[in-house]
Amino acid sequence: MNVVINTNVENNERGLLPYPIILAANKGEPEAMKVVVLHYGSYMTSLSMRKLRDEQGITYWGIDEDTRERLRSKLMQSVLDFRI
Amino acid sequence: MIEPDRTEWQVRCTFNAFCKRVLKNEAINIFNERKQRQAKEMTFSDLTPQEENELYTLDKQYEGEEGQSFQVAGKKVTPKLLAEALRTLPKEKRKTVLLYYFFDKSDVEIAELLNIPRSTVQYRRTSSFKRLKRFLEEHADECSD
Repeated sequence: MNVVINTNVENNERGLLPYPIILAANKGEPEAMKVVVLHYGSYMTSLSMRKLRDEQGITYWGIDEDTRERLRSKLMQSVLDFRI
Repeated sequence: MIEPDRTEWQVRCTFNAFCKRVLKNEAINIFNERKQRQAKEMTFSDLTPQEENELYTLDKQYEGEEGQSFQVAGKKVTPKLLAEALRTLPKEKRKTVLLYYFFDKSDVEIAELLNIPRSTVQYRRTSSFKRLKRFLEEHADECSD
């Protein structure tokens, strides 16, 4: 989590989406939006990890689906608000 | 509002940072909401008796002598009487009888559970029956009708 990834280094495209995709997603293109959501899918999953407790009272680390759903809808909503 | 004039590269970087920040902020929001809700949650043991009583109702079926009863050979056996009869048994015998009838365990299983020989379980059970029988015969009311 604390690893600093400097994506601003020139010609380092790690983690960046292609420009046309950003434009299309910003306009609400469903296919482009799908790409964006998929692109940040692993980050959303890692953010929604938390300690869960099952019926037997055993605690374990797992994905909280509610959190992930909320993150996804928030992302889609925010992509539309992004000012290029 | 000043329209930002960025190169394609800058837009891509900004978009990436923007998305990550949005997700991170939302995750923090969700975390805080959950923490707030947990602070308001209460355990049953912290409730006052009045509050606790409002949460459930009791089945009145087994209360007192007026509850359900069985009529056998002109005698009336109520649940209360049965419970009293069971209470007169020594602790070990009562345990055996309860395990046998309420947990559907066989003599062998009970023997393993209590760490005693199987024949002891059988003996305790049969001798318990005699005691229960004697107690109920003495204490059961004559049937009124």
